[in-house]
Amino acid sequence: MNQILEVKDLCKTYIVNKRQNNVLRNVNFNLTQGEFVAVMGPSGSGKSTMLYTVSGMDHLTAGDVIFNGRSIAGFSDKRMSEIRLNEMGFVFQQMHMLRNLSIYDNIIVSAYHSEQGKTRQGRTKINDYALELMRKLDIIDIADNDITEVSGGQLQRACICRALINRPKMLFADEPTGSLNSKASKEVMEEMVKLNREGTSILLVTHDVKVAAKTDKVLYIMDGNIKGEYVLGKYLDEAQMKERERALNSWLLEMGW
Amino acid sequence: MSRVEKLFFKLRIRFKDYLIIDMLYSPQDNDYERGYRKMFYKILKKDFKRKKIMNVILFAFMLTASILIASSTNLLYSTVTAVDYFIEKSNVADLMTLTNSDTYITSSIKDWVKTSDMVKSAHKEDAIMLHEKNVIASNKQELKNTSSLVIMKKPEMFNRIFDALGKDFEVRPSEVAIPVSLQKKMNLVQGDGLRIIINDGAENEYHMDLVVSNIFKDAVLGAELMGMKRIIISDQDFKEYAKHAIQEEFLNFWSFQKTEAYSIRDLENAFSDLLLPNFTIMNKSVISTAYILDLVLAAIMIIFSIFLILISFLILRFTIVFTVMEDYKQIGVMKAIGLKNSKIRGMYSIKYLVLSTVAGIIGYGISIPVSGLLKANISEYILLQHSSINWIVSFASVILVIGITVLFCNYSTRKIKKFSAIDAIRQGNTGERFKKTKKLSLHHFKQMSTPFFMALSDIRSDLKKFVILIITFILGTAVIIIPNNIISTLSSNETITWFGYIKSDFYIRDVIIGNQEKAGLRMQELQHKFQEAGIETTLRADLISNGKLLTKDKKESIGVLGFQGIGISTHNYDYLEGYPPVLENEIAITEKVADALEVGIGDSILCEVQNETKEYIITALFQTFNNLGNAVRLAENYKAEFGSNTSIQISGLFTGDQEEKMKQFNELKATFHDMDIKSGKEVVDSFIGSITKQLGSIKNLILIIVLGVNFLITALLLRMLISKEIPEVALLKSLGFYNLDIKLWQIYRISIILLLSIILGTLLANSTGKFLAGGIFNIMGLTRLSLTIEPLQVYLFYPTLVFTATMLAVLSSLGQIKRTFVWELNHQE
Repeated sequence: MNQILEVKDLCKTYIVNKRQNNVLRNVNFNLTQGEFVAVMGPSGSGKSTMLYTVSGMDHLTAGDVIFNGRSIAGFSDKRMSEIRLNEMGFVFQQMHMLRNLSIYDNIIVSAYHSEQGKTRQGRTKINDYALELMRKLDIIDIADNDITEVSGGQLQRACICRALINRPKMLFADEPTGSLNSKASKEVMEEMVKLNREGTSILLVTHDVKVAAKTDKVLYIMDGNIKGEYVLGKYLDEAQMKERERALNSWLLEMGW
Repeated sequence: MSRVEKLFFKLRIRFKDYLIIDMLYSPQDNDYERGYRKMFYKILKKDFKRKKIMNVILFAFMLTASILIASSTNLLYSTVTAVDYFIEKSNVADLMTLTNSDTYITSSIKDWVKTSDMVKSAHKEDAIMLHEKNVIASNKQELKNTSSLVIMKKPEMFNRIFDALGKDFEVRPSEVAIPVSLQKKMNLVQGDGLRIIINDGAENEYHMDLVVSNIFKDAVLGAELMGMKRIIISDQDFKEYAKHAIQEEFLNFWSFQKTEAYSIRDLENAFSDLLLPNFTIMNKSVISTAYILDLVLAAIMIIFSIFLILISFLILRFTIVFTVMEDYKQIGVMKAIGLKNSKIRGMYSIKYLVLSTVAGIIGYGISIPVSGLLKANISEYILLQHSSINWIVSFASVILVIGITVLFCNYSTRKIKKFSAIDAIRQGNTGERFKKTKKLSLHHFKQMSTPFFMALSDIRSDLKKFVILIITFILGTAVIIIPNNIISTLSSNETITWFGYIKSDFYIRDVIIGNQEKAGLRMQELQHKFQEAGIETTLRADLISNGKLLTKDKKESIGVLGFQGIGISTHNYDYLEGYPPVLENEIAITEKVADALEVGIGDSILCEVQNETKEYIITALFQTFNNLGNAVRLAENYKAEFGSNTSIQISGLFTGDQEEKMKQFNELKATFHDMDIKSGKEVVDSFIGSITKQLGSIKNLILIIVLGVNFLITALLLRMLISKEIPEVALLKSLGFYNLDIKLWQIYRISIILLLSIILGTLLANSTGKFLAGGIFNIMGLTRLSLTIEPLQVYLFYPTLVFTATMLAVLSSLGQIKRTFVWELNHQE
């Protein structure tokens, strides 16, 4: 299988008040095309920093990140923007949206900004795809709503639609269910599993065992380093969940969770 | 866990908010007040540190506003009181008139003074008429653009004059004292030589070389609007001149003081009833009105200070609302632990009290030299009263601004009182909304770029956010364009018609003539002379004489200037309403006179010219600057013996195109340099040149300040907006927008607002300018002002300038976009 993401000896250091803070220390891992990987670890272990660094949103201090066969470590801001626009999708814990746009416009804005969105025909295709995605994620009814008029779960699903609108090769998600209640959280995860089944690679940071249990593999990070990985295999249906959660919990306990 | 910590836990306040608990809750300080002060100091320090640029810009506004309000109130108070003080100290007579030195006139006036119970005292001073070309300075600087000039002895009783320091002075033989206006025009200093010639070119030509000993301030003839100026020489030298002067050049300057029982108007009407020929009649109130232009500067400055103060308040409100919104959580925490609303509000208000007080004190300090500079110009002409009241007035204005600032702060922080601790923790969002938001839909635009759409969408959905910018840009544009339009109007080719003259290629002011016939002969003579010199001209003339208009019942009357075109039909002049007077019994009067006498077109009116009273039908209304708008135009057919008090303004046309005309004008001027040949612009400048110049300097000052204001406000608000929009910026970056795209979004947003505001500001200026300027022009006689708009300046040059300055501010404020990282999204609530 092709590697979509290869992380080699990744280090990230912050200087705070003249003191060096090594947040990531020689992180190494790979993500295969179509794989769904969760990153877990205690607070302050460097999970989010790792996500932002491997996705090129933050600069790395040392090491290399190979995304879709290219080393993106030395890419300029402009080049990284192009990659983010065309090949990556992001979902955040807080459901950030552009305040003055409707749900629908928030979903299509990045696609309209891409090369495809510069033509009338391209925009028509984008609209068709956006509607398809919204139908799939069951938020078609809220298309024209204001972002303040919908529930957290609906908003997060809209964020996922936005992340997928440019048909990215990989989706990065930073605690996408962190601000949601358990029902909404379950709905969002079901959509992500569906997307993964359709071929989207996903790297997800989470605190929630129930969320991680639906992924293929869990990486456990502590003190800026990956301490271990647990392969769960493909999640097929709800019936597996209890067993997967139990297995993951016992592994996490071993890891010091 | 302590009680407070439990409360915070319940409120789900995160770690960083505990830092605030540390500030508020000081277990080591058992004294609550001490704890509060400590916290207060920390918050203030944090605010000053975090919002350095915002605070500096706000301070700059408050400082500029304080300087301007203090200096302008000082200037206005000084000017208003100075005019009255100057008139009083100079002992300006209630009524003054300049007549020929004629035995009949003199005896008539003397008889009237003796018999009339209206006249308390009267005084006659001798004067000799001069032509400006006959006043030659040792520095070879020519005297130009002075309407009339006389030499006199130093007045001792009425209408006194003073030196630069406001003291009395003496003029010794061989010395000459000149008014400030002449000193400026001729660039003279004390000790320079001045040759004064009478009977120039005649057999009995006489001159004296004098030394400028004093530059004086003249209450009666010193105002810019007073066309006539006087030169003072010693009694002995005057006697010498008198020996050589011809009778026509001798004038008498009469001053009358009224008795208590009568008004100045009564006195003036009674004098007019004598029907004596005179050059001019002035009363005390006219003298006072003539200084109106000196008040214009102060008035414009005050209006401009108010504009700045208004902008400061808008910024203040925006800053406070922004800070309160930014600190919602802090406020919630403060409320949660039981801090009173007044204490919390006080915390925000005190910062602005400190800022405005410091700005006010420094501003007042700076206003002292600034006021001095502003007053330097008027103090050259007007005697200023030495008083401390003006300083008290300007200090009071600063205190008032500080007071209003504090009240305004208090008003702006009232929101703190309204929301609960929980509302605050929810960022002020209660979840309730009663209006549908007005949004544009991106998918409806098939071509528009996304940054441009986002800019449009922001403006459409949240116009309120940009109100300060819009108001500032609109007012800023208007305050630049209004004085510009006034200057364009005063410099336009039309202006000459406001002085009662016809538009021509050149003008010659000639001396006294007898009647229309003589005027015609004079024109023929000149035309012949010009022809001999090879210059083809068509000449026409305007006879200008003094007269009096009376209502039919003779109850109301007014002194007027009578205009009559010679060699030109009355149809060629501009009228506001009606038809030009054609028949001998038809007359056009100014709208100002019509209003004063309560008459209109079709009414009959009596007019006295040269001892002759005739009834006329008013056929038209017109307007003029001449004689402060008190004038009439007589029909071409009107025939009268005007006597010697008639001046003639000859105007002429050349043949050929514009270039040819310019050549001929220069040739005519060079060939007949002894004649006072002027272009239309030069004639206008001789009347109002200094006003246009003064307005030009004010306009430039306003332009600089407005560009600065636009720059600062844009920089301030854009920084605030961007710091509030960091989540959006980070989000757009995460979606793959380039830094340039995000910058374009901001640039488009300000550009759209700016362009709309410039359009609105220009429309506002073009539509309201005439009403704002109209008041002053109305006093000067122009009842219906129509502003001239220079399209290139108004629609291109100034908008481009404002746009460029504002865009520089935008570009200098976009740095934050590049410094924003996507991971900052996680730090936003």
